[in-house]
Amino acid sequence: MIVFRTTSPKYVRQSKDWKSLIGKHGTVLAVTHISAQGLELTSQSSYPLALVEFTDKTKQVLPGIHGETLTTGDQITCVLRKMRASNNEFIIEYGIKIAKSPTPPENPDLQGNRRNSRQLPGGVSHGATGNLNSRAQKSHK
Amino acid sequence: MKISIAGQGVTRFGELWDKSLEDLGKEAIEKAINNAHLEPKHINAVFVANMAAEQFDGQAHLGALFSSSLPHHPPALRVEGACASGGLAMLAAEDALLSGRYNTVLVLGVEKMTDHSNEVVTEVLSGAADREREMLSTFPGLYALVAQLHMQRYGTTPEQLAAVAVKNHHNAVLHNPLAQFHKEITANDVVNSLMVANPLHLLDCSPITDGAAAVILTTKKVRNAPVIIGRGHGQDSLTFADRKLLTGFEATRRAATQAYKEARVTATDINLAELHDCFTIAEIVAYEDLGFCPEGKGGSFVEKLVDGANKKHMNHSGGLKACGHPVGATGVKQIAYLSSLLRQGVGHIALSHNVGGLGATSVIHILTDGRSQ
Repeated sequence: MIVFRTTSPKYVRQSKDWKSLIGKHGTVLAVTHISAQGLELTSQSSYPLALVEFTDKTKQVLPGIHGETLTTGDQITCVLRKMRASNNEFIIEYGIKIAKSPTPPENPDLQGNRRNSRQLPGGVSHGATGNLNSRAQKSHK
Repeated sequence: MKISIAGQGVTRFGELWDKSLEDLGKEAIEKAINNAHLEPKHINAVFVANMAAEQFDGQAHLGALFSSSLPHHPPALRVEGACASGGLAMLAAEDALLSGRYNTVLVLGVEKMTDHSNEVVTEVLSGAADREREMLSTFPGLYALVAQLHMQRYGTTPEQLAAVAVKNHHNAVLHNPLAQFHKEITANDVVNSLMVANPLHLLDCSPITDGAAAVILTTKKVRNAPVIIGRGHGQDSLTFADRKLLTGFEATRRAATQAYKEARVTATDINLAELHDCFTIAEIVAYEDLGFCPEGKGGSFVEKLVDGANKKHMNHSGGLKACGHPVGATGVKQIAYLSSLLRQGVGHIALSHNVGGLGATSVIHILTDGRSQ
């Protein structure tokens, strides 16, 4: 029986989308909290999974931060977080999650500029996300 | 040209630890051949429905595996479409018959799942999604989002979801000796069972199952054999968030429109249906998508089925919920079960509804008892 890990070339390809998502704001349309999950997620006892509508009207299903409770109507921001349990043999896998955002952005068009000048909700600094993105981008060149 | 169901065979569904994938497939084939009173050599081709034998069993050559179980080794191929593999294999087989290439074929659906832990099976089944899989979604989680949206928009309640499970367990106890579960449950049992992804509890979910089913289809005249009178196949975006319809499945609506038109019947003519209740919300949504009730009224529809005000037979077999859901076998089992009921005179026009993933693929078949054909 083979279970394919996502920490692979596929994971690197997925990371191409991060830059466009980090800092993006939206609203939770529906949310569930997953209590039974797949093999690689068993270390995460429960986490939210939400259908989100972004300010540009696109929609996406995204996981919330482990331990955070989300409800319909919550304002959220996309952040970079550790996705799965890691061990000594694989890289630590990061990906996009959503975190509660206290206030919606004043002007969605300015989101990209603001990303570079303030801290994301949940405590991950832009320095960290910026560096990770740079590394991911370099790896594609 | 009409396609008749000359014979059908279904194995017991459940945790069948003493039976391999091959054992299950061969048993279903043998039962179908015996039921059709057919010489195996008259089978021109074999179509095998399966989702994940590579991952569950390390077997990736199912056509050859099951062709080998017939003495003349007929041409065989495998069809994969997640949980709709069975319905799609039926369509492929029917198209081969309608093209005139073959006159009698065997369709086998088979899956062996219980050798693995729940976590491994959840991981493998999540392969039926794509972009959302990367975002830590699971199938219970995605169906739970549909349920949340349905509850928000239409006021559907956890008790109405539970009513689907209660009804289907009752049907399995009453009608189906081959079902995985023969135990009545109450709505309280459902809403108090372990939470999987709210609002879906453990007893809102179909189980992990081993099983196989086979049918023999023919364009030759077979007296009193059920006949396929309508077929439909719909697709929608594999990514849930990209869809326009989030409280139902457009693929099912498209497939149903095709099938009703071809069969020249409407939803009100259907009094017997096997529905794809992989989760309780899926059956409620199916009532609406198939036109059995108006949009948003699936919750009250199931209540009428439970209290007897509505006499339609919905998931007479126990459905996926109580009969079990060996994913690649389900679509074939639905046809085999309906064929058996029609032969017994239960119902006149029957519908099968087989869904892949979170409704990205949907296959509908409409059958009639053949006496009027």
